[in-house]
Amino acid sequence: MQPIIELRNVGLRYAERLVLDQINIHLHHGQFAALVGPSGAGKTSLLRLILGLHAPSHGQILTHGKHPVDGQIPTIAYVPQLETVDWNFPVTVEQVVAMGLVRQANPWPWLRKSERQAVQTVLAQLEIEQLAKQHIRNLSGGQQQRVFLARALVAKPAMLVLDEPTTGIDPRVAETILHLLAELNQQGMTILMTTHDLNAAAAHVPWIICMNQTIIAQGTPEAVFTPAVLEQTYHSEMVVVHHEGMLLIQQRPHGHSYRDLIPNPIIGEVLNPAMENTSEPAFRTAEL
Amino acid sequence: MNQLLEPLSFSFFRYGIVAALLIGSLCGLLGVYIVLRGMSYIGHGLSHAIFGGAVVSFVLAWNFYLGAGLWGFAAAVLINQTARRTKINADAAIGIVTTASFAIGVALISRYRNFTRSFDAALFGNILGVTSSDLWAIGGVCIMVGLVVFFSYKQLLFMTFNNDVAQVYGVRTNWLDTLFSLMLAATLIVSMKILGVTLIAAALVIPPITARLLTDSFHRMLAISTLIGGLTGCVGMYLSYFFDLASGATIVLTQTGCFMLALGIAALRKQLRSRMIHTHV
Repeated sequence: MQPIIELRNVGLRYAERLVLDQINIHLHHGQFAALVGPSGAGKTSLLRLILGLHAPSHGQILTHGKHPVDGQIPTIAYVPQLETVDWNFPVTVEQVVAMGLVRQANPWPWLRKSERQAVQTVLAQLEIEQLAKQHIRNLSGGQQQRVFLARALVAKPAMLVLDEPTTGIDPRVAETILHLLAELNQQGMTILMTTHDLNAAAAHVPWIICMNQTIIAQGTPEAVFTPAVLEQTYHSEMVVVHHEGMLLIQQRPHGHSYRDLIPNPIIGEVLNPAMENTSEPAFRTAEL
Repeated sequence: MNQLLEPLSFSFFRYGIVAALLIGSLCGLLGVYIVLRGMSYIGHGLSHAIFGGAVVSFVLAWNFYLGAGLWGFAAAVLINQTARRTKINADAAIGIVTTASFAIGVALISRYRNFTRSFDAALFGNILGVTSSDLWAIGGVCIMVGLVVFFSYKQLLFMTFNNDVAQVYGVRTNWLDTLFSLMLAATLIVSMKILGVTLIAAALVIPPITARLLTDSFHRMLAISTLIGGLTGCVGMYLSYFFDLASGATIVLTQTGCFMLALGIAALRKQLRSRMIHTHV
């Protein structure tokens, strides 16, 4: 089976600076992969290459084993980082999701009945149909992410590309979003995402691509998340712990630990108001 | 009622009010995209650039619309390309291209010194000197812009919301950007004779900002901004007639009054909303 997207020895230069080099990746139908690496590793640049927003300086990008020509490019839907969105822009949830239908040849400014139905269906699928008429500014972080996911899904793409979908939202919501992506993948959707959350990637994503200007390693989380690969990727010492079937990754603090610092210069320890009666210092829970 | 009808007995006023209505609506409509794309300064800059083109076409005895049009379009494309392909930001690109163009106009005027009246009209507008051919030109641009906005509504909305993402979803943003530059240049050229270089920017920015204060919906913002632009054009014309004021300036002041009113309404709404929340709590 030919991969949906294949990058062969791809490189990218910005103003004489080599941003990406020797990138070899192939993503097959139904694959769920996460790109991880430090800031400045070229993750977003790589996504932009895959999305067709940049042309490679060298190497080849193939779709279904061929050079893409107009009309044969697989439909890729993109979910940008939430922080790049103008939240004051005057649009409702429904209007944002309908943007995903822009490829369809309806020249009128209004939506056809079938388009309106498609929007409603995807909103219901992501359990945000009650927010359809809400302005995007009035949503929580998780709801905002679902809206942009809905816009991507309504386009019925061959592949979903997400740029840091868990950045800026709390861990519980991030977990829900990753569950949602896993469900979509189980339904056959090909997904590529970037993330800085290694633990979440280890728990939810079956294929990890470690990169830092070039591909360091790719494989299952167990194969890739090793101290050696992570050190090569992040240029920093990482601890990998196997605990109750989970992979837990933590950067080893260097120089000092929080135990070297005074918890509070005035009262020494900060008490958790909920545990006031027990006089249990709040920071001790972190040690457990 | 008779008082309101009285100015309409003068052909200069009839032409002027139609021009103000059309230009106000046109600037209000296009201004929504300009303001939401964070390009408010481009109207100001590009009108100065077109001034240079107008002077050049005068010196070379070219048709005003053709000379200024080509010049304005070239300036808009140059700004776009400079901002896209170099490290120079859009605001700096606007600053360089438009002031250089304006300087060419001023240099030519100082060299030839034989068109002081046209110079004043180009800078401050002369709505009372509108001819039927000006009205045809304004009408043509209104139809062109109206059709493009109608048939590219979804693409323009997506591109304005997020240019890069729109490209991924199949919107031909480069082509649409060029078309937008062409529409903007055409709008500025037909507006220049009416409002003048110095006042066009206000007509492009104030109605959409006012509309934004009143609604959170894009299509309503388009409608309200177009309506405010057209209406303030007409009201401004009447006020300028009755109070014997410069028409372009009166139109802009009417728009400013409208903006202040919207600001008050928005503040009042916010207060009412917070009171309702407190009552519920």
